[in-house]
Amino acid sequence: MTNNVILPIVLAAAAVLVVVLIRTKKQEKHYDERQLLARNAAFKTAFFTLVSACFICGFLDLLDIHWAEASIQMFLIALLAITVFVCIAIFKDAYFDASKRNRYTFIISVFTLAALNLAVTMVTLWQDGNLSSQVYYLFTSLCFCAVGIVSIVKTVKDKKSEDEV
Amino acid sequence: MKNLRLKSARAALDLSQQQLAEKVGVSRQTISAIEKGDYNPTVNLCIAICKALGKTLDELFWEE
Repeated sequence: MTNNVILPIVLAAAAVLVVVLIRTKKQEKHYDERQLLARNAAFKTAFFTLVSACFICGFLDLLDIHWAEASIQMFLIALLAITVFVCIAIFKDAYFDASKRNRYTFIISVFTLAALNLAVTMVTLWQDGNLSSQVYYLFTSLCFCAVGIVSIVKTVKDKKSEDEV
Repeated sequence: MKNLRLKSARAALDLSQQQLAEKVGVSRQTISAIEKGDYNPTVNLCIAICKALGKTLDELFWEE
């Protein structure tokens, strides 16, 4: 991985860390008992997704099928596991805490980030038969899209069930 | 199994799921899941719901 890829990642991670720390200090998230159970189940599924993906990548490597650099594979697997957790948690009403929040802002942010990442991917994706580092942005975009779609579906379902009550 | 007694006790007090959820400090979806029978609450939550609705544990959660 080249330095010009590492630096933005480190900067982005630092920015996210600062925002998370500020938000955590501002307001503690409160999950009820059902949400905590659902989050545990989501963590478990994400963990097994991570392990399965690692095995598949290792197996492909044994068969001499090199579809991407090891660092890219590692990034994609980690992102996949995180996305699985977030999607399951949203679907089980365990991502947002028990207090009322504006989900629309979250959905808009997610799709904006997806669009930004997709725009960056417009540069060449394949280099010498291997996926280039641009695949980070493509995959990140797809993950944000998945999270956004799940959020919309869940919001619509919630609206329907609220109307039924 | 659906908990219709909880639903009717809530309706008798003219409370929405959201209002009951706020009273006992859980999400609306949790109340909905309990009423639908999709989630078995802990004793602590059962007691909180009973107190909020002015009922006993037997009246709301005991199955004959």
